[in-house]
Amino acid sequence: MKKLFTFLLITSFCSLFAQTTADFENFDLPIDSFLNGSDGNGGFDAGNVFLNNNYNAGYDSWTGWSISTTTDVTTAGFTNGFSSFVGAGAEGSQTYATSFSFGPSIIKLTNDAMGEEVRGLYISNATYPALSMINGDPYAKKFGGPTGDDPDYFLLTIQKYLDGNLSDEKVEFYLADYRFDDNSMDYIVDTWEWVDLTSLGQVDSLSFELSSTDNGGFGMNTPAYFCIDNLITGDGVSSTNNLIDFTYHVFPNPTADFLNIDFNENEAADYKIFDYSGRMMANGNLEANSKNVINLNQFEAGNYVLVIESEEGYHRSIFTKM
Amino acid sequence: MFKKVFYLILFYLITSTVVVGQVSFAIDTFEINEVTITDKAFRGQMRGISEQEWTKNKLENNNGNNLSELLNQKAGIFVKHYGPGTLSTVSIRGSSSSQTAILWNGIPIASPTLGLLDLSLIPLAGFESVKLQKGSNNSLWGSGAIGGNVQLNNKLTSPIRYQDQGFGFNAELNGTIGSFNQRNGSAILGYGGQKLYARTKVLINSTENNFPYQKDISLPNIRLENAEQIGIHFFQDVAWEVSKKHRILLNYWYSSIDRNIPPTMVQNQSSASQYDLSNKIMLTWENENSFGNFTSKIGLIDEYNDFRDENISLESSNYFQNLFAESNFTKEWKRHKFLVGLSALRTKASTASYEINNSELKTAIFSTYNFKYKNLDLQASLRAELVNGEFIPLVPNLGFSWLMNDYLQLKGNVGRNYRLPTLNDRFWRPGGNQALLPESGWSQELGLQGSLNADNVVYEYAITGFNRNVDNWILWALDQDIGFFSARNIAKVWSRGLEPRFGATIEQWNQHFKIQFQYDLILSTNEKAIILPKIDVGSQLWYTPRHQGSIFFDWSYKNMGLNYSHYFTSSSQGINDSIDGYNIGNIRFNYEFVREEKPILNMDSKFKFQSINLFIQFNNLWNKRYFIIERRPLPGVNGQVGARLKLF
Repeated sequence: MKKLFTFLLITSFCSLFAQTTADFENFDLPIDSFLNGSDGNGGFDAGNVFLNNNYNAGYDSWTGWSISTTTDVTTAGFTNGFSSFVGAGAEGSQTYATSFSFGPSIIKLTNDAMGEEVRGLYISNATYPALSMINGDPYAKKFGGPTGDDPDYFLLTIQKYLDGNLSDEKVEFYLADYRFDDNSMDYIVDTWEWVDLTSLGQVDSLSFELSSTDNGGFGMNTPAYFCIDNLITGDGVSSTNNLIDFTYHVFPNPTADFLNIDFNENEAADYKIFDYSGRMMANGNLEANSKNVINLNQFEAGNYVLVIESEEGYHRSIFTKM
Repeated sequence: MFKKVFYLILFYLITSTVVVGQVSFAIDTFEINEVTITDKAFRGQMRGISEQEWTKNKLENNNGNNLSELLNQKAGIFVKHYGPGTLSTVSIRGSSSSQTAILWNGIPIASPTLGLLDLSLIPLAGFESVKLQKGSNNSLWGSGAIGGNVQLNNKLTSPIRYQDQGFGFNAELNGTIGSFNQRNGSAILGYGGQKLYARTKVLINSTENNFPYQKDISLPNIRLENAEQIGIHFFQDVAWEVSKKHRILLNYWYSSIDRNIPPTMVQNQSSASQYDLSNKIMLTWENENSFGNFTSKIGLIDEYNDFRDENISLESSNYFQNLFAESNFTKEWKRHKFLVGLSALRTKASTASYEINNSELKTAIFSTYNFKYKNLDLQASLRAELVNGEFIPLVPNLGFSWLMNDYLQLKGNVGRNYRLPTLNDRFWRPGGNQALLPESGWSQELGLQGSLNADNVVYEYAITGFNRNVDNWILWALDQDIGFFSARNIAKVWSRGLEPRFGATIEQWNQHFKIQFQYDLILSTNEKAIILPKIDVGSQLWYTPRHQGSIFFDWSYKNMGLNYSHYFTSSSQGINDSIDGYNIGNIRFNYEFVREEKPILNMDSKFKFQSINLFIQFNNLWNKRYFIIERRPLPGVNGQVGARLKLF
């Protein structure tokens, strides 16, 4: 169900066809380990993004982004500064990225993704702030306060840089929200949640900034950590392509082995099929006024996006492989 | 470095040897029943500043058990108290926690790593007197004494009776039980005669600190958890009159405190604990003769603490060692009095948060000149200090007191002040900054004080105004360039205020009444705007109430005594929230059985039952819910009963 929801989020705003997923598995980290930037490279390349890291060798400390496979969801405090509160990466993966910053954390788009749209990413709490919000710690409050009625929240605000300017457009994601009148609805995110970023449009860099209702003279008391995974960038296809209506019919849906496309246009077009993570699974040509059959035997069960594109524009539809 | 240490030790030995060869020694008697060994007051005297002293008798009848409680309840200064079992520090005239020097028999004992000392760990029963001096004392005591200093003294005294009879003992047993399973016990044994006398003290205290409190006024009481504490202190003081000219003193203080750290009010639970182990030893050589007085001392402080928190898988150990040496010479001639001295302090510290073990060497030469003419008493002091081979600017001080008439004395003082960065400020990873400058500035104060006798009433009155500027104030703040909190000289603070006092003592119907009012107006404001931490120009420092007041009432009749004290503290701003003002009252009743000259237990006739003092006291009598630090609960009404048995 979650995949379907995610899938719909991706596809409902999708304006790009080629995409790359930064899933951080390229670092080949063994389980329960991390990269904190001590290599001095200033950050991490994954997919078509670069995650900034500020490592101070003199202090053996870091801010910005780290790459982690740590799984500790029970140890509170700063000694557990890399773990996601899920205990793994998104969708059962092993590797994810953890941010720690007193100010905004930045992700730069690279290669074909520069200046393109970002589809979205998975976000979760890190263990350190999650347990701090649940139990409190010597410096930060238990969310809800002693009565449970305090309208606390822990908010991640995502903005974009384009051409060197920080845009006012933003996407907000509540890592914890205790503002409900009914306290039983209060929550602290303990799963990976998909956050759609297509509304930001074209992006050079992403800025992630945390805010909380628990603040003191030295700034936010809630530990400034969160985790991301599977960041999908749209690569190299102009987002100025138009969404247009092609005359075609896709059936059956759901389907088991084959997908029929009755393409009823007078000009030929191309088709591409993407899985939920943006990976292109198949592509080909649709002749004018043709009937086409696509073999799905190699496809795993799940939801897929069919994109039909020509020089005039594109159209997308969703089908399910049983 | 080793060369400097060598020269320092050489100088120390030479000066010691030279002056030891001088002449005669005088004993300065000022109490009826005891002989004070020497009057070394000039070393620590500063003309024109405000000071309060609590001698042994006053300490015994004080409501509090530790230094934190004494200063909070008797001195009219703000004690930043995180609650039972947790950190207590003092803020004098709006100073920071690390701007007060804590001295044990004249040597600084604050942690060189943190720059402060937890006052709740210092038991009053360990000392013969405690003195508080407000105002800048940097020219006398060096770095840190910006707000003032607190002097803990183990001034060893020998009962006259021993001197008459050759040899003898005295002993004292104390026991207290109180709310929240508080247990205090101490045994004191004094022994000796004309040439050699000594005193041994053993103090043990424990408490569960499981007091009830409300996390919110809408919620029922719960009990504080993980707040237990147990402490053991051992003091050994020895004095040996080698001859009439020379005396050797030995002071030793061992303390071991194991305590759990309770949760805040916005924290479900805490598993934190801390263990503090400390050994302090000091050897003093005194010589007094017609040429002048010479004192030379050497001391070692060895301190270790271990913080653990299972919840966060944290264990942190810190260790430091201070080796201290000081020699000073005092000469009095007619209206003139001089003091010149040299001191050295070598510090070694290690913690996992330092890249390497760090050491520091401070050497200083200091001098004081005092001139008395009729009713005018003038004093000038100057200090030059070398820190790791680098001179810091000279530290002068000028003070005076002028007895204008029988009822009024005018006094004043002006001096430069400074505080060196702590080792943590410089070397802690992350954030230590080795380029830090010392905090520095100037302090001034002017006061009037006097007393007036009218029939059977004695009126006492005083008012003091003070002004202090401190630049390069060190704060740990976010460095935007590197994204870390680091220690920086970013603040500038202006402190000023007024301290009026009034008291009246009445002797009537064989009864003694005393009532005393004191009020402090303290404006301690930031003079530079800072983004993070968010500090506006003109804003009062955090945890610094503008107004504090207290009323003390004492009554005694024959062997009974009753005192009540009421304190008012205005609201203040904490780091997280504003803190409401509060007023609380404490009451104590004493009764003393005195049965002198009646031997007990058929022991030696010198070993006699002297007195039993019984007391009962209630703190926070009106059961007020109040906070000194936000999110840190404090107990409501609580009590203690105790007895003190004196054997002689």
